[in-house]
Amino acid sequence: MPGRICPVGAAGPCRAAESPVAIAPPRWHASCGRRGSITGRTAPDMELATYIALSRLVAQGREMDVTAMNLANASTPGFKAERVLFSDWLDRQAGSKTPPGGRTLTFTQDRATYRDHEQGALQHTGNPFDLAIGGNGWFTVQTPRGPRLTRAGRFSPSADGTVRDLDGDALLDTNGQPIKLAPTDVGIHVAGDGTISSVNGQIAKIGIVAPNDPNRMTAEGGLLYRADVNTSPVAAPRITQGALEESNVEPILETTKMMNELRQFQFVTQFVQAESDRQQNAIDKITQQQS
Amino acid sequence: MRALDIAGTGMQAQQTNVEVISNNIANMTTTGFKRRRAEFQDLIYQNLRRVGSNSSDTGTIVPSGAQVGLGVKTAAIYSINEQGNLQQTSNSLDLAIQGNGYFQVTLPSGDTAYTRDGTFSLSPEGVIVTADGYPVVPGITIPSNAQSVTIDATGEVQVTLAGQTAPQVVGQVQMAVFPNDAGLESQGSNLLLQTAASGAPVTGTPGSPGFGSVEQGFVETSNVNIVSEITNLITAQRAYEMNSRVITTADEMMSTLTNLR
Repeated sequence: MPGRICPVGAAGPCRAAESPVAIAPPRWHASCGRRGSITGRTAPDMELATYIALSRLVAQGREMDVTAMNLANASTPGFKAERVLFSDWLDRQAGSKTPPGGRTLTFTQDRATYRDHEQGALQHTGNPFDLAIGGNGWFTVQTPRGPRLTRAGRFSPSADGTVRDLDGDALLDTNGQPIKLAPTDVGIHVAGDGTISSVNGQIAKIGIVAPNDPNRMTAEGGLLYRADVNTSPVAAPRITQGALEESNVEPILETTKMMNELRQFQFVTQFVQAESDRQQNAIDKITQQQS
Repeated sequence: MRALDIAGTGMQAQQTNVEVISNNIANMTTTGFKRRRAEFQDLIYQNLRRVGSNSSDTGTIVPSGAQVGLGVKTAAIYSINEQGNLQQTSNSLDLAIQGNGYFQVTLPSGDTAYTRDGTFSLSPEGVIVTADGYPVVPGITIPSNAQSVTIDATGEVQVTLAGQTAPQVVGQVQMAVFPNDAGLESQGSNLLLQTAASGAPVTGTPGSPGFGSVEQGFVETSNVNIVSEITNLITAQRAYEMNSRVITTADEMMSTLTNLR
């Protein structure tokens, strides 16, 4: 159904595609024809400069939220830093013909967030069921909502011997089945390719998969991701036993970004202030002339 | 502005982290103590622009959506059951477990608790008890005229009585193993309790398959590694500071807005 989106899986009804979160440009002047076009150039709208600055402030606020999220999760194992992608929203104004090379008005639009899939540092924990993936690949866990992907390799056997994550979701093997240990399975060893063995021999092989499009993953919280496209097994996974992959958030980078964000925010706010003063000044002068 | 709340969850998480680390450091010389680790997870996300939503009616899709997370939460604090070092005490009733398993102890309430702390002594009746005086299961009584006590790696307790040359078996130490050690509930005083997460205990003789062996005259020290704890403490402190910087920055941004005409 074009123009509409349906959630992958059974959850939720279809709904109309979300419109991009951007400040609607003041088009009403264009439609009522008040904006004149002298010598082919668009006469500036009174509030337009403020609206453009506002689009920047809103986007900046979003970027700050993402930075806060990254820093809050600076020590969450398996967390991948989020980045904001801005794009310009060109206002090709109706009724005006911008000549080639001429100026269009550009609003800032926070178009998307994406994940930085860089490898996090490995931290030794010594727990036999703490597993870290080196390079590409994801663990699959069976949640009540369906299989989900995660890089947080914090597992432990439950009371019935099934290997589960912190929320009790079972870790799946290469055949998509839960991995079950017998009570006599001691001396658990996880080989680099994901083969689990004990003193009684081989038990299962952990399934390491990757979505065919790494950007088509929806974060659900709890370090779980839903793949919105098909996944395929990773050819040569590299698993380290007794270690966890730390968050890949780089605190220095995020703090620097945060300072930059604050200064830009203040700069744009100053601009809004100056624009307001200019308008006030203009209004004062016009009213003085009339009187 | 969500940044304030997000950074607030970050500070709370780091506070929990520092509490867990300080408990580890405080117990660095506690016999049989297993270090703990706070585990964090990201909170739910707000989908501002859904991943994979259509960007036109010809079926093109946005390559990645806009999702903003709402912070961090503590998912679990679990114990790391790595073997601690064995420290020689030369006390004949000090037992250390080398490998998997727990000693069983009867609490005054009649419940059974589990411990790796093998600093045992004798009660006035000659029964082997823990440092708190709780009897070890199964009950083993050492005769008052015993000259020496020998406990071998399989937990067989032998005594040499006064005036006799041949040692005499008086009991057998039993151990319990669990499907999920990390699921045991800490009771304090080095005691652990069975939970639904740990599964039912399986008892057996030390040294048999799946069970560790016992070492007489040794105790298992805490498995806290002070270097890694101090490193974690520094990391936690810096993370705490950075989250408070986020709050300051978000506050400054809001104050800029408030001062705007």
